[in-house]
Amino acid sequence: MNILKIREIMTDEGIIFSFAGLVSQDILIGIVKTIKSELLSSGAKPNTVDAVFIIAIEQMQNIMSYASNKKIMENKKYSSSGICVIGFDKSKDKYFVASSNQINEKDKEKVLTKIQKINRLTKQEQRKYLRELLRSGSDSHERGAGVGFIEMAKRSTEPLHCDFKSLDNIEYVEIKVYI
Amino acid sequence: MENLNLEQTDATPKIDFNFEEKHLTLIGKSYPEDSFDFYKPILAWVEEFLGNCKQNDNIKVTLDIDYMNSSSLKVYFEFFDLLELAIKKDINLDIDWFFYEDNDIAEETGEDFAEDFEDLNIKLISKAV
Repeated sequence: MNILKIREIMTDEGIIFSFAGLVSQDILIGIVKTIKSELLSSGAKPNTVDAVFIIAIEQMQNIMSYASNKKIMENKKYSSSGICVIGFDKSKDKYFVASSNQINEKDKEKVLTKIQKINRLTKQEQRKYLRELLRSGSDSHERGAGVGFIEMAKRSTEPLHCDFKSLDNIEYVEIKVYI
Repeated sequence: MENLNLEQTDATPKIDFNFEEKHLTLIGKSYPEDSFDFYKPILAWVEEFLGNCKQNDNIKVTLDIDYMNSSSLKVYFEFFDLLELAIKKDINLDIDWFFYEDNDIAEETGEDFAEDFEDLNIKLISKAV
């Protein structure tokens, strides 16, 4: 087992905190509490810390609800395999939150389109789009995506980054948000 | 009708709905695993409660939610939709949105709701830290 390799990657990428495995609500709550106190004690501004934990929650709950929707897990509980990483990019002087999870081929287009659309809008237009989504279909149990991505874009200092990778014939989506 | 009381948890707010005093209180954070599941009985209670209210009844709503995730936003939108319907029945609503003065997120969320639901005259009240 080469844990040193992991340490190297963490140092290179500026990773402060990472989680890889089954993301569940309990884990999410624990992570959020840890991030908050950790970042605050290392001198990050409260508004920045808030933005980080908000985006971390959205990304992790996206992983959970996507899996549940696509029945990637067997049991009823929302928990899904994914990776979530929080760090500080020295070259940009910005914090970032990134995540990776399995995605079905046919959903890639949907996700990319949503993110590209949001990236093209001004903050005001994002606000308007958010309002439209919130008003639409009161009974829609549509989880994740849509509103979540706008919330991330709201707190981000650059366009949302979205990438697709393949490993052993499994498709993954990677989202990275800079704060 | 019975009161609705739910204890605050890490990811869900304290719910204190008193039907006799006509006072609805929601305090805490909202980022449950499944917002629709969590809030379903709460919205159902509100709907029944408002259905029983009469013209000129005075209802007080106190909100102090310092953070809500994206799926909670949708639920609170529905909640305010229900309150807006009540206004049409000439029910009087007194709605306060509290936030700590250093919590920009909560302040902004309150401002957005106040703007989206003008008829509700949601009052934004900052609390000293």
